[in-house]
Amino acid sequence: MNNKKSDPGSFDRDGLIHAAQSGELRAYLDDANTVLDRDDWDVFVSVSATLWNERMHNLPQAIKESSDSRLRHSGRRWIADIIPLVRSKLPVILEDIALATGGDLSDPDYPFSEGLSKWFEGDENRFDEALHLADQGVSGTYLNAAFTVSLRKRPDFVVPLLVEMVQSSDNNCKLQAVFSLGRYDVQSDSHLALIAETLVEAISLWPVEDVSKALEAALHFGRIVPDDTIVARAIGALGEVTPEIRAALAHAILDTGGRKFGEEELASVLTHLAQPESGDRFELYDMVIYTLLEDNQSDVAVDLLTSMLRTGVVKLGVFDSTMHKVRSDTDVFANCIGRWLTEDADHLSSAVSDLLMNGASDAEQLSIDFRPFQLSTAQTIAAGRRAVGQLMVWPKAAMNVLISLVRTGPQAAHSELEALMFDPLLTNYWQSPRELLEATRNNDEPAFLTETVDRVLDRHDDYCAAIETVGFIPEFRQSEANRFYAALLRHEEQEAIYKSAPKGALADLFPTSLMLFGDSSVYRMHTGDGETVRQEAALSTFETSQEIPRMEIADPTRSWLQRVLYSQGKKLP
Amino acid sequence: MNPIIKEFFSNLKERDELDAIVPEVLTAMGYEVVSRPMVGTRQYGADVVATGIDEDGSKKLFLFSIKRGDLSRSEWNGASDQALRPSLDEIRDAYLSGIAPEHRELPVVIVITLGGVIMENVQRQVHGYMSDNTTQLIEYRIWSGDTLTQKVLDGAFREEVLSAELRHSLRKASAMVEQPDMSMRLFTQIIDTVLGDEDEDLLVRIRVLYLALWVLFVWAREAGNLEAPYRASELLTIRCWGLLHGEIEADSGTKQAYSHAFFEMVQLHLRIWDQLYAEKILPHCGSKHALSLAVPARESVDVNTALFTTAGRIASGLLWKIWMHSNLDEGPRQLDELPADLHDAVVKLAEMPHANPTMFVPASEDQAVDISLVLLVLCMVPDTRESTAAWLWQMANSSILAFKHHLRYPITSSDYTVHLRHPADRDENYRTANTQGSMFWPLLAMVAHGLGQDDLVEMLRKFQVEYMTHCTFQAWVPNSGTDQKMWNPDPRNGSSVGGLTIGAQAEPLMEVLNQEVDENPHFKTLSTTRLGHWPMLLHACRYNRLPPPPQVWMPLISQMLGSAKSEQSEQ
Repeated sequence: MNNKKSDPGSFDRDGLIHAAQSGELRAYLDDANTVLDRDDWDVFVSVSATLWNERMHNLPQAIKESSDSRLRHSGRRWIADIIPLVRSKLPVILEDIALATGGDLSDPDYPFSEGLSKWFEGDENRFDEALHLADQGVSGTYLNAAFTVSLRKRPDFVVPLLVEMVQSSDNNCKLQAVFSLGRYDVQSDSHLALIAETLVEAISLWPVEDVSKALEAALHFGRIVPDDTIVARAIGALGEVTPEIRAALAHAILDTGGRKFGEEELASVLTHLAQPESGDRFELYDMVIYTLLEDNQSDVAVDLLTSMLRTGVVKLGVFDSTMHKVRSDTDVFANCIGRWLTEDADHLSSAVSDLLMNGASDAEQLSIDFRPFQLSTAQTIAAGRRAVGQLMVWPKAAMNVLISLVRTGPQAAHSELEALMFDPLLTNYWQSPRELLEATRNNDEPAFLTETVDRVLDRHDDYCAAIETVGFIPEFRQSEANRFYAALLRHEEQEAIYKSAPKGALADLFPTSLMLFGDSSVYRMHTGDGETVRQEAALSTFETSQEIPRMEIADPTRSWLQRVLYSQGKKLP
Repeated sequence: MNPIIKEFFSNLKERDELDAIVPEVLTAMGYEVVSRPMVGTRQYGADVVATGIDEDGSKKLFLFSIKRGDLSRSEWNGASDQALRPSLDEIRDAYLSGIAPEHRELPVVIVITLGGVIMENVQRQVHGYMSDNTTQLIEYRIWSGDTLTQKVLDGAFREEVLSAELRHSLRKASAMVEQPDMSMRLFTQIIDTVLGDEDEDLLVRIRVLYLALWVLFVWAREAGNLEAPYRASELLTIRCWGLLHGEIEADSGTKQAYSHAFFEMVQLHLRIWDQLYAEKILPHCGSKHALSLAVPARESVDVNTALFTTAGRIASGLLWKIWMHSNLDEGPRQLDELPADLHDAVVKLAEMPHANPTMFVPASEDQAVDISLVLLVLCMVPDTRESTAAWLWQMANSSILAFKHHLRYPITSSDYTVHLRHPADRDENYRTANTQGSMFWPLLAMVAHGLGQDDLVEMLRKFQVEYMTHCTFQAWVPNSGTDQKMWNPDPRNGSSVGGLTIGAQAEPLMEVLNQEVDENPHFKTLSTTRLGHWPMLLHACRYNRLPPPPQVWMPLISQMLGSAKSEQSEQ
């Protein structure tokens, strides 16, 4: 086939027949899709349609046989472009599509429905074929194409027909009907009122499992027609809210950025979204919240996110785009951490550590103004404990929260916060949080804060001095035999980690070579013209280090207890 | 061997150390020690006095004036009250005029005894003094570190008592003190071989081991690691008691000598304890995390084990000292008065768990032995009972929490490899299999009851009923074989009083324990009970990993309950 690739002339009737007969139709179409420009493609489609209509060669069968799996883009484009030119009856066309794609007769994909729309455009009577087929029980998305075209061409006939379908008991028909009505750019007031009434009624009367379709149609209709009441009426008509209904609401926000909603409607939609269930499409909510943040509606976005997290049904880690967006906005980041730590909800405080999981460095400069939260002394202390419990792995972040609480929280909480700064933060980490305190002392901070910091640092100085005075006591050392066992066990664990590490790791995405020697590697790189050039890449190593919490070894059980209780804002017994 | 012994003498830090060793060296040489150094007694310049046959074959009176280390100019005749020349003058002026009648006829040899050497810049003065004061009846000699070394090798460590092989083992044990396990293995060989040589006189054998332990101790002290001598002294004390208690109890003329030999061994054990615990560790017991972070470890179980072991050893030493101070022959009792240093040490011990919270959850049941000893000491001193109760609460709360959440809760196994992986599984089967028996929980309940902590007892009762029905709560008591097995360390001795139920207000628990105290005939017949040496029993319990029996606890618990009641009535 390669020789044909550079020759648009080879895409003709004979070439097509040859490809169909030799089982190479798929590859042939791939080449055609690549080589032919728009005009040549149209000519090729025209030739193909003629051959298709002659039905001498079973082209749908040929393309199916030459495709080892799902139909490729080139084949789909080809069929979609042929359909408007096909002279067959609707059932035959649908069978041909199903044969070529190996798909469902009643549910052709988008490019085919686009082709079917054009096919319906070609003759008004074809709409009757669609109705007839539907009457025979073969309904499907092809109806959308038929309805959409007919609504435009014969609205006075089709609108009442679809309204009647919406109220019918044929499930497929009614779903296709609301879909089409919801997307109908209505031209008359009477039709607008009728369609709006029909869709709202469907929302309130249909079985709950179908309501999302009606809602989706109504919300779409409300957006494209000049009637601001439709969205409100649609939302107001909702009874039980299912994951599908929430998905429809989420889609509506995504489509409009929420701006098409009135204040009350938006609040109502957010209320529904804020009560997710485990089967919900959280990636959709992720996009909703991201869109709201993008749209400078951060308060609304954080409200929604907070409400969802509070339920415990979903963890922050699911909201990937949202997390990225939150981390990139200092104010929103601080607002989220502040809000989630101050509220007495376990799921929210654990969201703080999720937020920092891959972005702890974002919190190294964290500064939160807690004044808007109007915290009591007890709430402030609880927030400090939650920060320490949740952020134990990120001591700088935890220390920043404590400093912020001292700076902007009630004075009566200072001594407890001071105690938390010392134990467990400074007792576990002697370096990084201490550096932060020293920097704070040197900044232009209120006297009460620098005095607090001074006391904590003095206490830590005494603590370290006492420990350093003792140093290591060799008599405490475990026996040689036991040290050997421990080393052996840890070595085995490391081996196991090392062996399992490549599984699913990034390294698996790339071919790797083992270098036996040297500090650089030489390889030949192909250039565009088939030549290779010598390349040399220096090998490099990457190191990272992290302070290990000292109490993990010195006192693991209490450390665990401390983390658990502090994460819940409680004090240690 | 020479350099090892010579170095040992030169490294003796205090004069009283050489004071303690010289009499043993003399006894091993066949001399009769007439007078030993005693604190607070006027010595008139002669630290040790002995009679013996000199190299010329005649019996003489030897007066030893002892000085540690090298003799410098200032130590010869400086301002210090420890200067040597004034001591020699005092012998000549005061001691000789008051010689006991039976020694008046004997020629006198005044021996300047040094751990090291006479420094060059003072040799002329010393020799001049010696020649100026030598008479027909008074002779002066110098025993330097070299001389003492030779005396030890020719006397206590002579070939017949300490073979070349054992000398080699001692040299290796001393050189390897930084690897305590290896050092201890070698020293145990020495103990077993020397004590097993029944042809040799018992006192001679014990004296050899006493001096060998001194050598090990001083070498370990120089190396900065006293683990090996501590363990060696702990074992040697137990073995000596096993061999000596019969002789001490016997109504014979040598009873005093055996008693003295045992006393010296305990003193040496406590001297090592002082260096390791009183000086090195106790001062830091109250410093937050200081001891936890002093453990050279990467495993949390290492920290836990080190601290519980340390606490148990501290308690054991304190029990000996309390016993020596208070003459409590019958067992641990409430102490209303203690010398300040002992009282401070007990207070420090009470601070240790609170400063090192790893001591809130023992890793193994085995650690109940150390916990029991610590609680025993703390409960004897009323001042520390409040912090003891706080520790009990923390232990109970944290250990129950660890149990409920499948963390590092106490398990029956003492196997280190098991502890490294513990909990290997976080499920019910693993937990049940690893908590089949307990002496820890009933101990907590018993002491909590004694301290009047009824709420804590109730919490423990509920824990037993709700979570520990699969576990046999138990206590250890001696049986007829204990007095033999205890002193040749064998942990498979005594009996288990099983099936203990804490019950409401610990009444069922206390009833069973009291009944056992009343009806067990064996505790009363233990040599330690007969001779009033209960710290020796507790010392051996710790070594054998057996918890102190209820017979030791119950009288103290009764006293504590009495105190609690009178406090309540006063309020």
